Amino acid sequence: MPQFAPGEVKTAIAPIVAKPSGMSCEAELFLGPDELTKVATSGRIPFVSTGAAKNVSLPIAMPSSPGTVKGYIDVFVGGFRFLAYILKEDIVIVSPYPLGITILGITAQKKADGSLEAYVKWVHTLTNWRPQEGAFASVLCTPGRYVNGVWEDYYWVEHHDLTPDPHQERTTTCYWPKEAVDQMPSGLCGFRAHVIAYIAGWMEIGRSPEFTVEDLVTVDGVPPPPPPPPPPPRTNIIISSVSVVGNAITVDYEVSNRDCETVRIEVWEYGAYPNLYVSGTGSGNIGKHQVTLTSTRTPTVGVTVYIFYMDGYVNAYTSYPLRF
Amino acid sequence: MEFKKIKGEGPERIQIEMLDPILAPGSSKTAKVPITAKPAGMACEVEVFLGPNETTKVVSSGRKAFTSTGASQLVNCPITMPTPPAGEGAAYHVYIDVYTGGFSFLACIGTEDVVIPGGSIGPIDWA
Repeated sequence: MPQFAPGEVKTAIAPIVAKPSGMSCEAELFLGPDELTKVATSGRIPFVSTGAAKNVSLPIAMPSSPGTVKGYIDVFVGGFRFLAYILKEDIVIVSPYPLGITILGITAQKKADGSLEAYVKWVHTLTNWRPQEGAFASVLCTPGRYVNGVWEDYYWVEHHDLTPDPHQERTTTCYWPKEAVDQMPSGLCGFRAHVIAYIAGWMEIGRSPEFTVEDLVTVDGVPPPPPPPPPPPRTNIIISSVSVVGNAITVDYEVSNRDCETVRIEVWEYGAYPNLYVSGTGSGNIGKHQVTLTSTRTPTVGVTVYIFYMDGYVNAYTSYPLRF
Repeated sequence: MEFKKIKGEGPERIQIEMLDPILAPGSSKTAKVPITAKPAGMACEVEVFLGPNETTKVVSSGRKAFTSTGASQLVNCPITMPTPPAGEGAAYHVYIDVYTGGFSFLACIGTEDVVIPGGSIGPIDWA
């Protein structure tokens, strides 16, 4: 494959046979990842067909970024393309700074606080490096998973700038807070990472192949525990009626669906909290119950009856207002 | 495109506009032919064909029927452009024949050819 330096100006000599002779033609050489994306072009170079092979010079400046691009030649006449060729060999844009980047491995763990860390260990062997050129490298690490055999990234990317230090093994820590982790779809199984090195002027000079690992996530080094079982249903207590005769206050209530541990009944003066008339206890077992409490005075405006109980998780209460 | 009479008793010369004589191989085009056939009321037919000479029809529109008006009238003649062999391009003469009663009374040839471009590109060198 032909190799050129970034930005280097070269001329392709293309022997073009265009028939019939005498046509006013134009030829264009362009480079790119596909024929719809022109990263460099010669522009349309005019020539007149001879009916036989004719060398047409197509000057072009190579792309500024290292990498591999495809070459295309189109020939036009009367505004329409009648020849469309792709070069058999790709063109390699070689950096003047030979760079080798190797990702040695990725480990990761999910922290107890719900955050996520991935550790990318990598090394590069950079030569011709001049620190004054402001070089740096970025580590891009992306959580992902396999869905029907296809790797699906979550597009959570962490960039870490590092001043390259040749031949030194480095570990880059990538961090996602719990808020970011919570937005990731379930099924995270690993990471994909690659390292990109840049030089002055932000010109990309090389990148590592993608490195993929699976089944990495642990919680502080320990596999995550199974999720807790769902809580049992809460106790349901309903006060069905409250009656007041003199200073005797009778409360009818029903406990349904599960027994509760304690039941405390309090009768308060209606609308005049916290003037407590009287309090007592009742049964917390499933079923209908009646409790009569006798106060030292007779309520005049009304009462509000509260039943407080422990349902196994939290204190709860239900209330029944009665206004005379 | 300009046409000249090659035989028959019709007008000396027929002028036809043709915007783009360079056409893609295998493309479908419609020649809009302004024909003046006299007298009016004749049942006529017109055929457009391309070829290296008037006896070799590479592609043809077939005969398209129309009735003469005694004045210039546009007649549509759809035709599919020829496809030269791979790597080849070619120029074809354009012929128009107009018939009535089974015989040709107008035979014209285009002064410009239809060009079907083709070619190839060899291995390139870098300088």
